[in-house]
Amino acid sequence: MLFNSLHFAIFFPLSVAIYFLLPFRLRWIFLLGASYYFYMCWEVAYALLILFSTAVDYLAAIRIEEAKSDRARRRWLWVSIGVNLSLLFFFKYSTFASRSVSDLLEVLGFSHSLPIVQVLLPVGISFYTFQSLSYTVDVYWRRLPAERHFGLFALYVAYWPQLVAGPIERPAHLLPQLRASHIFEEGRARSGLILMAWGFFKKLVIADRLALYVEPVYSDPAGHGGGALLLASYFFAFQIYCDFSGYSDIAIGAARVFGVDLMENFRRPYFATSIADFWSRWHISLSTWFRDYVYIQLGGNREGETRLLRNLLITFLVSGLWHGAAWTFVVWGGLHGLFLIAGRFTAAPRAALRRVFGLEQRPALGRILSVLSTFHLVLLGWIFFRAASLGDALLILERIFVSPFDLEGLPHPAGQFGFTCALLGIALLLLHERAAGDEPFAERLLRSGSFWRRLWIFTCALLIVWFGVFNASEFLYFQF
Amino acid sequence: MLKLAAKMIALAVLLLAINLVLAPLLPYPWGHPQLRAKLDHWRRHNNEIDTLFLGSSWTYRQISPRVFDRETAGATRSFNLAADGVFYPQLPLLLEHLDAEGARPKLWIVELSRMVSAVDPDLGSTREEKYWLSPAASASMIRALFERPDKSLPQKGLQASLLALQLAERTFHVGLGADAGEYFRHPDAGSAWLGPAGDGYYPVELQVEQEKGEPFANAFLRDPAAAKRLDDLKRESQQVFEKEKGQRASSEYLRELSRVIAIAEKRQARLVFVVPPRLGRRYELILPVARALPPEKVVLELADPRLHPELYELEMTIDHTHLNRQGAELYSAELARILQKRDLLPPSDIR
Repeated sequence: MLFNSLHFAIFFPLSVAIYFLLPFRLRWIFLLGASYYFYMCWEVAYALLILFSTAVDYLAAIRIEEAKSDRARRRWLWVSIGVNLSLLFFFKYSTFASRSVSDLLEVLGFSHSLPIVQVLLPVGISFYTFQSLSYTVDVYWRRLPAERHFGLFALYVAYWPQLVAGPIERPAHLLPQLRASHIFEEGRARSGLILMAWGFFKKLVIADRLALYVEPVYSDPAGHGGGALLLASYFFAFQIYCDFSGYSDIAIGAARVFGVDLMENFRRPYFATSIADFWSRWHISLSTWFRDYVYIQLGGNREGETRLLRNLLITFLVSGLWHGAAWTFVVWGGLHGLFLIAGRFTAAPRAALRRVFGLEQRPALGRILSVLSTFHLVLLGWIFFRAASLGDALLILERIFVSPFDLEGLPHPAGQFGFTCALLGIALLLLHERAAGDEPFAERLLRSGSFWRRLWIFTCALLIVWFGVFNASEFLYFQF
Repeated sequence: MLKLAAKMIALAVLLLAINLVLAPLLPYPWGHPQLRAKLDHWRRHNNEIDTLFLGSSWTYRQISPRVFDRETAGATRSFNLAADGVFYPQLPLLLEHLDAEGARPKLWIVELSRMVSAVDPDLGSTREEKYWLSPAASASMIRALFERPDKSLPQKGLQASLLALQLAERTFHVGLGADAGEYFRHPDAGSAWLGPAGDGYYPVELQVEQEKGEPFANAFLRDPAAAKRLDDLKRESQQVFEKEKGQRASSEYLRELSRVIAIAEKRQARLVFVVPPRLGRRYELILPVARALPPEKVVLELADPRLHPELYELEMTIDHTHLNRQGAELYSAELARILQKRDLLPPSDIR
């Protein structure tokens, strides 16, 4: 079920009403049923998969807790990791793996090719397997006790607001909230609805409008000049941000209405002053997951500079692969790893440059330059992320650098109004984020006078109704 | 909770009320640019046109008025008012619009095509236009939907809800800002839609060439399976014609056709229905309806592959179900010959 659909417009208020009308002891059952219904709207069979994964991890965590020896604990941990990663590998990476091996065999001169496995990717599998894995790992590390209530644990794995595209929650944060009783609070509900409205604005008015330009250009890079490709790349940077953060806002807002606080997932990432800062602001739930469960487990920064750099690179390569079963995503992840490594090596020269150009006396100018340069490094990565292939990505880069003003293939004049709308949407987004600062804006808005609050709500709703693209397109991160 | 819900409903009502107030104040265009351009042209030349072609891409891209008029040796002055995706119930809506504007043409050649039960936004054609979604048209589509044997009741319910939502979007002008902005930015509907001869016929090849700036490359014909696909289509079409007995005629489709007939009679126009070629299994729905029309209603079937094999040849093909320029000229000429032979050309008072 898409958030931007009639189905959801009926599902959400109905589930809120039923939830708060039910006695507390029945609420988890209702919420679990609603979550599975939400998921089965994509494909009924997907429910069996998530149920299987849930059952394995529920059992594994209890066995880990009850095990008498470290060896037994480790064995059950590996059962959980093995099952979850095997599922992920089979459904997400088997086609990629078989195709890559076939290509490699061809390059090496072998005439035989492997059969290409074609498997349908269940929506959200990357998200819920990671969420479930973090539970068994945390139980293993004795950070929390195993959950004995199967229904509550199943709800933790399948909780519908964040099931298919995050935020990837931590068990210590989400399980207690699912266990707690919640009463309906108007202030909290209003805050949640405001956040949902902002999420819908970003998705329907900005992201889906930008997609109308990005899609035709990136699906045919050879038919477009460097200028058109550069513009589409800028647009994609905002499309993916508005699409993904829009989804997160709707998810967090919806959960808030139910009384559950999900973790923040985006914090003005395009105002980051470095790549490291960017990753503390972009897809926070995933970046912290990789930090805690991959980077730190590899040794983090505890084993010397060389190991640190290796661990950074491995973490980001794996992160790239998590995003998609294609080499473009691996390159994207690798680029970010290299940017971080380069950032470490160039810290001193950059500081020297700042002194030479007097930027220490002009911190605002220095900050603007940092923000712009970080944004453009991120943009370089997005080109690989969005391109259909490595070849396309390299062609796009070549054309951008060789002919940045060639506007061949720019959108048909009949679409110029939409084009203007898209530009205004980006401007509105940046102004809004600049004004809001790092404080969650829903809270800030609720604290402001009722006139300004009502004006914001009314304007946001009006812009959605007037300028929204209502053809129920999927959110980009569903493909991960 | 009730207080918050009431506030949200009040906000929704306020927004929609603003739209309802604003919409009539805007010089809002009627319909898709294709139709807008054609209607503008027709309004300017209403007194000169005596024959109108109406339908979907099976008419827009396949009937050349220039060739048709040449074949009738100037006995007609025709105009192709068809547009991509105009099926039923959209076509009667268009006719009502023409009627309201005092249409003068004496011969209406109307395509017998599909009765749709969904507004498919992925098509990117006039069918997605919210202008089509009047309560009557939506009700018609919903009734047609529930006649379909190939969909389950839950599927029909969901589809009907979607149609109702699309009607609500149209009624309350959701997307008003974007649509109005598009109009103000480009009030000129784009005369390109009238085709190279300005007669409303716009071959696909030419449109692609003009938009891409390079010669048209027929992707369908480059497919090694193209010939087989066309053979399959021909065989499917032939099977329906050979069977004679098709499905039960759709009562909803017949109701739409009776609206067309009523408007034509009101305008005192001669009405000729045409069943276009290459529709394959769709004939199972169309033929029963065509045969169920009153016997005095003229229905020309240029669809039977046994009688018109040339219209199913690969050389006449642009894609699976459409004729290329060569095929369109052949089709237009054949249509003109049949009309002449049956003495169905319009009376000469307009010329």
